[in-house]
Amino acid sequence: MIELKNLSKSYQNGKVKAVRHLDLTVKPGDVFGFLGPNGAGKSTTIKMMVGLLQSDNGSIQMNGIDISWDPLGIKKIIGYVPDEPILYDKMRGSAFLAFIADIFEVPGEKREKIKNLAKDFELSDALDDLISSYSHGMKQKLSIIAALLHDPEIFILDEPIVGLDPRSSFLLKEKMRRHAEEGKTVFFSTHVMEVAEKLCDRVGIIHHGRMIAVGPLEELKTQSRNSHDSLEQLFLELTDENV
Amino acid sequence: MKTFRLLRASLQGTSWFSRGGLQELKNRDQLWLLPLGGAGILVAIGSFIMMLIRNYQGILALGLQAGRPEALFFFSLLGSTIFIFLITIPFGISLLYFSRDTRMLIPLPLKDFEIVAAKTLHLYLFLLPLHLLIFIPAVVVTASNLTVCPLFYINTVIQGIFIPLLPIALGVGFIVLLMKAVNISRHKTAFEVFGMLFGLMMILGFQVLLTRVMASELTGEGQAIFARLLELVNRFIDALPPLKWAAMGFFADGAGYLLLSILTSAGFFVITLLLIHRGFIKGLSARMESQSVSRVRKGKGSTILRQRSITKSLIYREWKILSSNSTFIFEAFGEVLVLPLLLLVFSFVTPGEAREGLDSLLAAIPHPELIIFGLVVLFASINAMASTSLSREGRSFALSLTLPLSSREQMKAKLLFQIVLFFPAYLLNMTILMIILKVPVGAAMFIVPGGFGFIILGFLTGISVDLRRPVLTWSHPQQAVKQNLNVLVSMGLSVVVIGAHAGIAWLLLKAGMGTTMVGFSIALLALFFAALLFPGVIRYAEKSYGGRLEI
Repeated sequence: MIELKNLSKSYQNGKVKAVRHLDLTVKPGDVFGFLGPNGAGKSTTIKMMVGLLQSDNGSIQMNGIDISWDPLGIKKIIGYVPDEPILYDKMRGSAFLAFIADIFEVPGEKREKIKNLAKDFELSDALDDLISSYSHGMKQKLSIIAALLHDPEIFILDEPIVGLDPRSSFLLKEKMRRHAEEGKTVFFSTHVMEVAEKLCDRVGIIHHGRMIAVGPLEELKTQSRNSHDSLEQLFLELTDENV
Repeated sequence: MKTFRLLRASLQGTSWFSRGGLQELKNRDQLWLLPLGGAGILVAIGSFIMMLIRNYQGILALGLQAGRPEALFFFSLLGSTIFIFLITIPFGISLLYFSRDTRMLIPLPLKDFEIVAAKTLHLYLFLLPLHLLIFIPAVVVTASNLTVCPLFYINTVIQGIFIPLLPIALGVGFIVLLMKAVNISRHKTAFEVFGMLFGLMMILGFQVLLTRVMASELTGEGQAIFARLLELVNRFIDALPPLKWAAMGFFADGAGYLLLSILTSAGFFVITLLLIHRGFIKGLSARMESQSVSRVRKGKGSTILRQRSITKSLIYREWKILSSNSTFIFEAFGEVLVLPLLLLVFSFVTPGEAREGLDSLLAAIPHPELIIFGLVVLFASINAMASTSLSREGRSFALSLTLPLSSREQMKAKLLFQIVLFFPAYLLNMTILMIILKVPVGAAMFIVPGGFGFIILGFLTGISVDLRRPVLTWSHPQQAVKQNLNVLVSMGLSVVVIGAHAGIAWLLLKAGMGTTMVGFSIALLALFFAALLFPGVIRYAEKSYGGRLEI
């Protein structure tokens, strides 16, 4: 469960308001799609959720743990896939995964699962290569495996589909779906409306740092002024500057 | 024309002195770096020129005695050629094969020649000031000591422009051959470390040679050496015709030589460009391919199954970051081995008689145990490792922020890594100095634990500075270490800490306490302060890891 209350963040001494009074609840078992135009505040919100940025106001709770009180407690239960993979380039893929597994204290007997994940993402053959030799897609896959290896309660992904080949993209969506079916929470940002449409139980649309729509997709479609067949049309209407 | 447009874009896109570069500095509120850096560079250049002028005056006198007035120009141009050739190699590799813009340029409708020419001209503009720095003092020394003809000044301008073309062409040609022979992208770090070691060996060798020559002059061998030197000057000049022509072109009747030298430099440059541009992009693409091809496929990730403790994993992570590039490796091992290296050079350059004199001098030093203690502590505590510990992580520091790790665990691993790096070196330094100064072994009883305390204190000082304001958004590792102000601040603080302990030691000695007791007291004090400060630094780290540092 993710609970964001009155969350705000500004840059340059308050001149640029990236996120404004954001309220949001994502229940366990949900796949939540976080949508918005470029610069709307999606990545800033996610970075606050995973501890990369500190909010100016408001609170972030995950499974009842408040990030300002127990940041480590939250980090232990989340798996985070950043928009740009953050990896140690001079490590081999296997060494990096072993490092992350050690940090999350994944016991030896459960580590076979990591190799299976690598197999699923067709990365097994490259595991003993230096990460610096990986393509962007391979780095992205490694980042996803690293985020999943401790079976997180809350899976947070920032633009995860970018750079993935169709098979890996399909596989990731499957993993996200299955994760939610196991009663865990999945929160991801994307620009790809079709992905959000097919995958999400609920979506939220953020624009200029404000949440302008949130709820199940069908509900949002019916609530809008015009009847829309697709999420794309709804998104365009809601984020149209001229309206 | 596209070549020059490309050159302009390349300069605009990469230089701090471009409009964009200045704007970026302004945006970061770092414009103050310009006057500070400018002043530093001016001081360095000023000192270098003074040193050159003194040497050049000697070479000019030597050349006149050998009947070769062109000797000074020959040697200054030779020096410039060697320097530029050597510097072309690393910078050329970086610019031609590893710069990020190459990937952007390849898909553009540009000919191989245009890309290669623009990059080589970029290299030329970058290295031209270095050439002028070595060359202009020779002009000044000659013009102020000899009567010169008008051709002299024309030649100054022409050689100022043309001479660097020759070593750059040679360097670029060497790079292309090297890239064909070795896959540097696979062994880049090893290659860079080897290059740095080679450079160090050259400097040390030059130092040894100079000292030996000076020492032999003192012992009466001066005249023989001088005669050999004159003979060497003549042989050298005749052995390198292009530089000889360039040097002779400065004097009356030198117009023909001047033309010859221009044709040689420019011709060499153009021929090299024509030769190397063929297949350059194809070769570059092949290199990129080979970079992404998997090489090791034996274990299929068996490392994953091996479980390690969090601390061990973090120490391993520290090692992988340190060994990720040559700058970090060289900085770390340079600092660890600085004292043994100094002693090694000292043993090479000091003549036997001087060493014997030194023995009696060392025997007269009071409290040698404390002197050794202070020296080894100084070398082990003043370093750039702790004060760049977070900075070295760069953008991957974001990963440290998202991992479920307490700041205590992060700090513990960083401290242990520092101890692993510096404590063995400390013990080695201590042993060497104890042997040289013939200090009783018993002194190790306080030097060993004291050093341990000081290494921790040095770490706490350095890490505190880096926790406050780490440099995380660097694009080149030099920015994380060499251009990191944290290093300077932390070194200053460490000097204060060691100085305070030295002051206490002096007071205790004045009060009549014995050397050994003073040593023990200082060791205990260092350990006490280390234990006292550690929890405070952990609390400070909690803030930095807890969201104060945003990336």
